[in-house]
Amino acid sequence: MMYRLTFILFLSFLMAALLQFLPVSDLLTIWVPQWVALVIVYWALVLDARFKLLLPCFVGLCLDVMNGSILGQHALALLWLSFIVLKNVKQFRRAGRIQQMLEIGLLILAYQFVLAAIQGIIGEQIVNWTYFVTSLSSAIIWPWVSIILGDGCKRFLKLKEE
Amino acid sequence: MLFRHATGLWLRVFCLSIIMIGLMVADHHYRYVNNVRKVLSVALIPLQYTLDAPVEVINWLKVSAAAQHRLATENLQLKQQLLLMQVSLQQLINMQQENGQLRALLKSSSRINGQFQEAKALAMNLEGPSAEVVLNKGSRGGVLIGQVVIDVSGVMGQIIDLTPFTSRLMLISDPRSGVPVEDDRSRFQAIVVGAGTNRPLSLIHAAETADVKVGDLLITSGLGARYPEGYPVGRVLRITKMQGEPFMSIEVEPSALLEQSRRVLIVSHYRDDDSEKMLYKTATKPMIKGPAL
Repeated sequence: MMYRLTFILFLSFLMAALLQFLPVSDLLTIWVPQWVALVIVYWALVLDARFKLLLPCFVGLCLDVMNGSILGQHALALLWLSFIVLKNVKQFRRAGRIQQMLEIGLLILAYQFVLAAIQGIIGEQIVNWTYFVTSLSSAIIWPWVSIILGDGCKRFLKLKEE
Repeated sequence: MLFRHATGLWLRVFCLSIIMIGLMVADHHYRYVNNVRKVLSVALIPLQYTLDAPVEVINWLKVSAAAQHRLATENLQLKQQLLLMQVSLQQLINMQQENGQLRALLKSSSRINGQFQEAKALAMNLEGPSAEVVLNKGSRGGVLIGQVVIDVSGVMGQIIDLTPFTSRLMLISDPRSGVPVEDDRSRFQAIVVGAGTNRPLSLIHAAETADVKVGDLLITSGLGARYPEGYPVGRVLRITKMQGEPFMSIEVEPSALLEQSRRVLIVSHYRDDDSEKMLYKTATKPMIKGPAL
């Protein structure tokens, strides 16, 4: 069970990273959702108490290395993102699809705000409005993420969702 | 369990946040954690090559799907181009010799004696304001930190990070990048800094009286001994004079196709003196604040 969980966690993040860094045309770049953040949110929702906070930290560090950003930037943002989700798991699960999408949009916006704030402190930030576009596309893609991951996991782990 | 879940969560998040902030401070100010970065980046190499695969496949499909006669015409054109190039190269070799002799007479150091190494940019969609590209050659391929990268039309940037099989190229459009340049027409010298991905570069510290015109070609001046002399950096796109400001704001369009170039050249050795080797040794702290010259 534990091995299977680790395996599927690894697989889901690998897929998310591939999707996030996949080269696309310039027009589409700003529309690429924050796949990795979405997958973190999903696992925080599903695993709840069993969710290890070291996971977002580690994934975040990998993102930092890939992006060439300062070590800890994405890790901190992902950590806080999963914290917010873990604090509100019950409300989140009860929410309808539309409401969930709205909340995801706000979460991703907050996530990007943390990233931008850290960059601002370092002094490299260039303000732009693409954060809203990314949040929007992330919110739109969320139901599919949760359905695909949910389906795959249930089959693979035979998880009981309460 | 020491803590119950509800109270423990706050504490754990708090502790991890402190650790992460500490990590950021260590990374930004002291570069203590380079080893962490190195280990992780080596682990992530397969991912970077995997990401490049679909683009390669598409390119391969394009070539293999292209009609035979189109390839034949392209081949013919390329051969003609090659012929022209070779003819002009003959002249160039002659001129280079002459130039070397003249410079020897003037007792100045010989310039550009370029050895190039071909590399490929791995296609990847990176976020954030920093403009970086990952190349498919690393320390195993003989790449050094601080080496300059060019493409067919101009300067692209410099190598700032290495793994055994990949290297990270900071483009000249990166806000951290600075290139010493001179105006090809008036020999006016200044520095070109980046302003972020897909934005024009800017020529800084040009006084109102400086002799710079729209359309001027800017080439590397060789000052600072990082960028070799005489490579095109960009053309002046727009000049704005601001009231009360001591300097003009000058936008520069890069010559190199910064974001699109897939095939690039790493300049290996461009000078015979030891200053260059010294430079590469001291260049291990690439992410300094302000323009890196």
